[in-house]
Amino acid sequence: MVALEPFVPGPRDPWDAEKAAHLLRRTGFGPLPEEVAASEAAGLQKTLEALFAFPPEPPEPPIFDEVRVAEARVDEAVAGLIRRGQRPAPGEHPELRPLVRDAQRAHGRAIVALTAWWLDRMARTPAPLQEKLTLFWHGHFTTSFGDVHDAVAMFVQNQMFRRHAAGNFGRLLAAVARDPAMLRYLNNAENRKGHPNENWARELMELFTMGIGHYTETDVKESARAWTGWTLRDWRTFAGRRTFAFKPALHDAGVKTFLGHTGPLDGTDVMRIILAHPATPRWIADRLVRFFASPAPDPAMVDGVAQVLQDTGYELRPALEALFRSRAFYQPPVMYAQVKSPVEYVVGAVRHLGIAAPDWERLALLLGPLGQRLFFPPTVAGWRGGTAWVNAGTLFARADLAASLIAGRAGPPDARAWGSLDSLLARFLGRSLPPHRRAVLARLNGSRPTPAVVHLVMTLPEYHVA
Amino acid sequence: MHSMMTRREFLTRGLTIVAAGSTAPMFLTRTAIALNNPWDHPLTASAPGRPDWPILVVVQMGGGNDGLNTVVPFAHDAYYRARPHLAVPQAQLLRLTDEVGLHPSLRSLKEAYDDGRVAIVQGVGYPNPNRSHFRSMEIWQTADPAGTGPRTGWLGRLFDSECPDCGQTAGITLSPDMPLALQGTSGRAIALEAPERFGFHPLPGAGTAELAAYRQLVAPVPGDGPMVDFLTHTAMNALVASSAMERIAGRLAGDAGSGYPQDPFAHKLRIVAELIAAGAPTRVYYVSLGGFDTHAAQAGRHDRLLETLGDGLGAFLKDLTRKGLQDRVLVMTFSEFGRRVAENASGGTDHGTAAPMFLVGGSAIPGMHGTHPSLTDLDQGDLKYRIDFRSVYATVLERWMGVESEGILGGRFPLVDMIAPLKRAGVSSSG
Repeated sequence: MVALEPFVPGPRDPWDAEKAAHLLRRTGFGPLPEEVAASEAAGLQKTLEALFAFPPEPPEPPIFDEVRVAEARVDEAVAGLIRRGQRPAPGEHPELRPLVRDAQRAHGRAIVALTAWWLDRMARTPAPLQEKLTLFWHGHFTTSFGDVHDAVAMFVQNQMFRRHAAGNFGRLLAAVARDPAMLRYLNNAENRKGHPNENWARELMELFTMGIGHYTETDVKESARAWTGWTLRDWRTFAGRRTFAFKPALHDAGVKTFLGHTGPLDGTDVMRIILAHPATPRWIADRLVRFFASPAPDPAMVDGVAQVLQDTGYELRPALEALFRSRAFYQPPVMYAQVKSPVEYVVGAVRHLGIAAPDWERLALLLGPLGQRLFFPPTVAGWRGGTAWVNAGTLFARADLAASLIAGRAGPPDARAWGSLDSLLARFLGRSLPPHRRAVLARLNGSRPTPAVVHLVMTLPEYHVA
Repeated sequence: MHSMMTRREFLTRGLTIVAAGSTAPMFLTRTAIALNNPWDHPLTASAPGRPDWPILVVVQMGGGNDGLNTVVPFAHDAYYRARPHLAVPQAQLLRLTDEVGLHPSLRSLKEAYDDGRVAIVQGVGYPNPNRSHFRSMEIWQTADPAGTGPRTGWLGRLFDSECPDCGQTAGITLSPDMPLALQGTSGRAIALEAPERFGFHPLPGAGTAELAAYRQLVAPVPGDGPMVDFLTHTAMNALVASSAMERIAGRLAGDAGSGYPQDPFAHKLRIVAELIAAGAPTRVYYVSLGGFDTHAAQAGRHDRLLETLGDGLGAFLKDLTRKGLQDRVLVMTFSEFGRRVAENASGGTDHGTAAPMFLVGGSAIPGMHGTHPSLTDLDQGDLKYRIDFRSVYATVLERWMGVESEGILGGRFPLVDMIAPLKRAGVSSSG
């Protein structure tokens, strides 16, 4: 494999505002003109250093009080029933049912608040790449609140993605394998000796590490045996369901053969074997390149990123830096080759419109019709991305969302930030517009951009492209 | 109809027109859209001279439906042995034959079966089954188990090659995403969740001037990169269908309920019925019901899913009959796979293979078709399929849609006698 050829600025191909805007769009959410100008002035190297300067994870947001109170009531009632010699099944015992329903409602409200909290971070963080990677990992190691029903567990998982965002893939994988939300989502919490559940074992290889075609059905079955006993501490309490435990009594300690390796393998062995398999760096590289560069990636680009992953023992930062530093990253097959995801569209729109304190909870709910409800990926394969983001329905839904943002329904926009038509275009698009499209806008424009012109800019084909 | 440009022609000619001048193109582009817009015809069913084309409604049961607990082989002891907790007791079944019965949640479907409206094809699958949701769903949607053909959907290829007069809304999916099944090279399907919200809404006060500007802004321009080009075409397609949707939305709002259950699946079927009744120039509707991936605690969940499916389809059939459309619409259900014969330790079932398909309405030949797969002669714990799903597709294409299936499916597949031989004109011989 050949290393990625780096971009070297020269007189004919300088580091300019268009390239800076491209890099900042891909690594963040709707860059503003001042951010693009700063990157243009600083150059690629300094921009990358700034991009990877991640702050420590934020503290837990104050949105779980109601959840904790409701959970305590359920746990108390369960404990009471157990003391009376009963074995209550949550949700079924008549004494528990109303309390469980209250707790579920509290979690339902908390997941909206958590989505709002995350969107706000995306919009305001000094390190947007940290959030962009967190979003990438959320789509990669999918887990849906729709199956887990636990907003606290989803937050814990979200923080895990943030902590490992550009760290080491092997360590991230080891954390995911013990993540309570994942253990519940893919049923490994129920995978026990003699009664294997293959859900996690299968998706681990198919979607999370290797891709289809590198293993057999037998490998899936043997891997599932290896993962038996990787479960939750205690199903009966909320805290117990949010705590990983390895339970030797549930573990199948027998001999398994997995991808040609034979022994009394357990989950750690399976991960080690998977990480040593040549398909894995290539699969991770492919996922990263599709997300950050192009939905139809050049195999050489994937190979280059895979090589760095392999050489560094799966360090993500150097692999991503090699991609963002590469010449090919700034060329036509990559530039303007992505459709903005709904999250990029919404967070970018809020920034471009200059909405200072948006009603993020409202926007969190509006993401659904656009096709990307955070914490509710549609399937275990995550969001398909690329052109799949856009169709007749979602395109109109984006236009409606833009209209409601302009009308101030999520907070007042700052019209002073828009300036003239040309500064408006520079702010929203970061590129020039074909003369004929600019002329259509100019005809509708007043001395300053009218709301209708702003709406049309936000519904331009070019505004949906990243 | 012969004067209509195909979309392919429209795309190339439209671009040439745009390239030719700087002010004229908007008008011409709009004319080209109107020329190719079957929605501009009066929206009345069975208007004189208007063809009554056959309509297919595909119902996708996402996640892998447990076929064995849907059409239950109660006469096989092996079924009860393999499923000590999940087996449906014989007394509860809605008996179809001496061998099989429907799950009790499928009451409405049983009613339709007794009315002679339901064909059940048993043991449908394909060779070397794949147990990955994504790969197997891709196989069902592309009709290409080897994965060597073009990455387009079987219905997308129907629109591409066998449906020249279908216009740009040959397929409608009632979902936010476009399923691969409807994707072809000419992009003739649209995704639509709610007709009442479907359209470009200018800002209050900006009105027609903004809408006119939007039409101009989404016209293709030479030099647009591939992604901008994709977006302009998507937007033009969307504009084409939107005005008719307003009329349909009015009908939906005017007639609340109308016998459908109150759930999103039934609501989607109701929208389909209204679109058909409005004379929408659409050949294939795609409706999904998800949640069939019952690895754990299957019993209650699967019951509710089947009830949603059966009651939704039952209401849809009654509505079509009320509208006099029952013979124009065939419903076909499928899932990416069935589930393993034996239940697992979580009160659920893991990914399996063959399963039954329902064909409802249209000219479906009522009754059971094919034989139930053996419950003892298994392949690694899974059923061996009896009928290739491409045979079912071929039969639907040839005997219902009235088109050649070989080109679409990449080969000849023996037809299944579950649809009456064709008496009507085909999909492409309209007008």
